[in-house]
Parts: sequence; C-alpha cells; structure tokens
Amino acid sequence: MAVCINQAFYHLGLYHAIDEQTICQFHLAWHQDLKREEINGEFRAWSVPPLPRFRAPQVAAFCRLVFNRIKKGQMAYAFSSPVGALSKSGALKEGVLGLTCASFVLAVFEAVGVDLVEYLPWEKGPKDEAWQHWITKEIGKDDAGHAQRLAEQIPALRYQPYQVFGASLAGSIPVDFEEAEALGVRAREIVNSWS
Amino acid sequence: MALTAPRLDVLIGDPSSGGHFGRQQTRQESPSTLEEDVSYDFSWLQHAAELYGGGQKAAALDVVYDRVDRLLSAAEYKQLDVLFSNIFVENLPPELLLALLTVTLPAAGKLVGRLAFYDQVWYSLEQAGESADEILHGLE
Repeated sequence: MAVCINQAFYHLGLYHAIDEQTICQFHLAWHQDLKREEINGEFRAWSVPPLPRFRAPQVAAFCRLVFNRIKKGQMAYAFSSPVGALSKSGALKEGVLGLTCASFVLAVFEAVGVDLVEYLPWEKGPKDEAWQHWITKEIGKDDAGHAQRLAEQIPALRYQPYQVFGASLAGSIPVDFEEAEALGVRAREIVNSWS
Repeated sequence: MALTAPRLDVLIGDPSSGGHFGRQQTRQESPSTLEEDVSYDFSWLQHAAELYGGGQKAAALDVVYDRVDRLLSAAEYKQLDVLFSNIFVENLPPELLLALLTVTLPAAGKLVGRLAFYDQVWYSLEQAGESADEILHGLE
C-alpha cells in the first residue's frame, strides 16, 4: 500500500495489491474517470505511509471493494471535502459533489479509519482559486451542468497532491498543514534532483 | 513548526520489487471460527479463514469486505450482530478481525454487537502482545 505521485507532483494516486503477486495503480484521473490499471510509469515516486500494523491490507481491500462496486469509473471530480465523502462501498455520499485526485486518496484512508492529515485548519494556496476555475472550465467542455455546480464550490479548500504525498512521508500521522507542506516541498526537491 | 521524525524515504520505480505487503502473521488458524448454533449462514467467514490460512490473504479480505458490504446494503444489522457475538476471536487472524471492524465502521452506530466485538479484538491483540490501541485507532 503506497501513495504515488507523478513527476510534476500534480497528480496523486495509490499503489495497492490486487492479489499476492500483483500491484496496480488506482487513481481519480479525471471527472468520471476512476482508474485501476497496471503500473505504467505515470507515477514517478511513491511512499508507504506510516499506517498502524495490519491496517495497510485494509486500505487495499477497501480499494478493491471500491473498484468492484463503482462501475465504469463513475466518480465525479469536484472540490468537496474528503471527510466522510465516501460511503461504505466507496461511492460518493449523497450531497458530496466530487473529489480531486488528492482528496480521493485522503477519502480512501479516512473511510477505513485512518487520517493522513489534520483536515482543519488548512491554508489556501495563492493559486488554488485560479486552479479551481481552470478545472471548472475544462470539465464544462463535456459536462456543463456539473461545471455549474463546481463553480458554486469555489473557493474551496484544496489538499494538493504534493501535500498529501508529504503527509505519507511523515513519521506519524495525522500531520498538520505545515508538516505536510514542508515534507511535500522537500520530496519534490528530491524527486526533481533525480531527473 | 516541528517535523516529527520525518521519513524522507521517497521510493521510485516498480513497487512490485519492493516487497511492501505488510507483515507476517504470527497466529495459527484453527478449524472453527464460529459458534455452532448460529442460524445464519456464515460459512463465508470460514471460507475467508481458509483462504487466509492458504496464503491468499487479499482474497480472504475480499470475501469479508464483499459479504459484509452486501449485508450492510441489505440493512441486515441483526445478522451482523449475531455474527459479532458468535465469532471465536482467538481463531481468526488479526487482519480478518480488523476487516470486520473496518468494513462495518460506517454502520457502527447501528450495530449493537460491534462494540463488544471491538473489545474482544482489543483484548485478543493485547494478549498477543500487540499494541491494541495503536492498531485499532479510528475503528471504535
């Protein structure tokens, strides 16, 4: 069970076991596009979060349940809070508009009783709102109705991929904003130095 | 800001070569996981235990998650309470016990037998020399 991130540190997912021999990547790639696929190099770095003993297999089992229950990758992309976002079967709960790639990862852990971060307080980034407007515009090209609902969520708190990845590197969880931010920035420096 | 013992062990490449599949179990399976006079069919739990004992740990967890999720979807809370009150905690490996607690977490308030089961699991882990509070954190 690992948290994985792409080279640019803007897309986050999970590596988890399908069986005793196979590991896959599982991530919310885009609006209505929850993917489980073979590891294909999309994610550059990965980290095993400091989960309590016996808990990592539970996260993996929940991921497999979600994949089996969510048909055709139907998972909306939006800026909702990850806290309590997923039902027992992994679907979005009623009233939850959707998640981002990073908040989906947080929501998976939260659904099995593990918090990677202290959700509040969480600082807004200087570009969060502009990013949310850009996402809304892009989704609006295919789903105008969803984009309208997205626009109503702005400004929303944003748990950025590098911050969640940073949280997975901590010595213990949950971590606060400052620690997630610092570890995420440091991890990005390390990964960039490999290139 | 304090960084609490960060582990900057960023990993790279194919994780299948990294061997991050959790830890080895130390307990032994025993033939029976349930009381005998249970009126519901819980043979799936025995099946899960057998899969686990045979080394198919992911498949064993999948059986538990799938079956309990279906019971919850059907609002079969009474059946799950019967299950909780009849499990031989000592005869199931910790990962399957935690699976039962994890998958029922969203319905904890509706399952009157779950808290007693949680206590049994807690005690069982402590008896086995594990840190039950740490392992079960967030599952009560």
